[in-house]
Amino acid sequence: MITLKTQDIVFLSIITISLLTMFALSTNNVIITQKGGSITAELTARLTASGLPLHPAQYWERTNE
Amino acid sequence: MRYTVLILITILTLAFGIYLSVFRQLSATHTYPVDANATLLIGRGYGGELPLAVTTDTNNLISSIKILQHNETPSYTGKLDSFLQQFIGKGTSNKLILGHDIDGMTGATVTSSGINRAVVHHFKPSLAPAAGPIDFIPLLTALLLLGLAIAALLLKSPVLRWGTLIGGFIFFGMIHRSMLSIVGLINAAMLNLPPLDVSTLLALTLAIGFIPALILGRIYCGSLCPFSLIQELTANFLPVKWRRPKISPDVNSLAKYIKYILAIGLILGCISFRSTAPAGIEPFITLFSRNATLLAWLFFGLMTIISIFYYRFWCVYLCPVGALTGLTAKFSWFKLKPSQQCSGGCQVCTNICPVNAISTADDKSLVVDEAECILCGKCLKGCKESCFQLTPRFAIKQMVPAAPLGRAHSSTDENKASIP
Repeated sequence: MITLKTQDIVFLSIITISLLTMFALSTNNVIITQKGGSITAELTARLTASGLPLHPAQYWERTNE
Repeated sequence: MRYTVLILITILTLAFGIYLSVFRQLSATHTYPVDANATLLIGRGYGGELPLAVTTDTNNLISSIKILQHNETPSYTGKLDSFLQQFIGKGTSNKLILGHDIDGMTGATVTSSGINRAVVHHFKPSLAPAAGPIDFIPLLTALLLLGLAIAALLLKSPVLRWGTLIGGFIFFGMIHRSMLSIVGLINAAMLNLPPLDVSTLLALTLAIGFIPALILGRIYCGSLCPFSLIQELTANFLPVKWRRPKISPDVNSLAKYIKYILAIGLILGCISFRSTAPAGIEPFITLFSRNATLLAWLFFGLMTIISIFYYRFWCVYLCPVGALTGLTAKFSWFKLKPSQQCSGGCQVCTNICPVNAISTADDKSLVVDEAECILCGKCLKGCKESCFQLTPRFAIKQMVPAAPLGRAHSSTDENKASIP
């Protein structure tokens, strides 16, 4: 069993804050990048024909508007 | 101890799985329409293909241009919208030359060039820039810096090492922004590479990070990484008594595993999203991109302030690239080893090692953790008895003159090749 001293607790708190900030930063990056496009069926077909990899979260075909 | 690590890894893996499943649902709601009459152009950026939807008016001038999806590092593409806006109203009558009537994004040369090439190829195919010649001067400069870093280690010269740290900061960071990063590594693994004429230095930087790690160890981390200089400077900022608070050895050794977990998590995240966006967290990218978000700058500031108190906090505990080079260094040809004459009793090296890579085993012998050692050379310089040597992992067989008949020679003195 590890006995934690005050300096260990301070250190672990710093690590936790750093990890939480990294997590927030990573999430923010994904949001920024994934603001890509809702594209039409016609363009989706052309993208498919182009051979680009299609990803549901990135190439989102909007059908309800 | 091992059970604690296993429990920690299990909790973090579960948390990451929940994050992925929940966040992928949320991310699918970010949508906006693109004109059905748009022309599809394909550029090639730092993170692979850049599909662009371009519409034109009756005069064949660009009326809208949107990027449909990209894997570029967000810190570098903060001004993407304003960059694309420059193409509006332009067409065949314009030069469309980057740096002339189109301003590139600062710090995102490859992305700017990729988009520009795609537009020019469509509107002015006769002027489409072919792949340019490879510039060998940056490549030779990078190799020269690597040579100086190795020389600094072998000559035990702190002055030369500081020179390579400054050189790495200016060359890899400020001038070329071609650092060894987890984003670059994952892009390379996914074969999302920019055209060869703009990616040769990037490829060489990856090689400089890992090939010397297989031979010597983490020489890039210790002497060439642009973020090293900042952390070395901050480490000497405060008086000695305020620096390096004494953390329990158990907590310290446990915390060092975090960077491995992070590396695995980021690689899995990027594979899951098919994008390197989740990995764009490295503080040195923020520093040199100049277009980073406020959150990214806050993280950079946090890492810099913490490294005043904890030596190379980012490198030792968090850096995913450091984790990968560390794993590579485990198999390095040369090992930093104490000589057999060294008793290990003076403890000078264990105290002087800034990353706590040297420890004393149960039999009082000294053990160097190659995954943590950044080859700063402080133990080589600090040990008054010159105990440490770079010793080859496998002995190199030397040509031994044939022993006279009837007289056997001992094999124990063979194979002692080492670099002092």
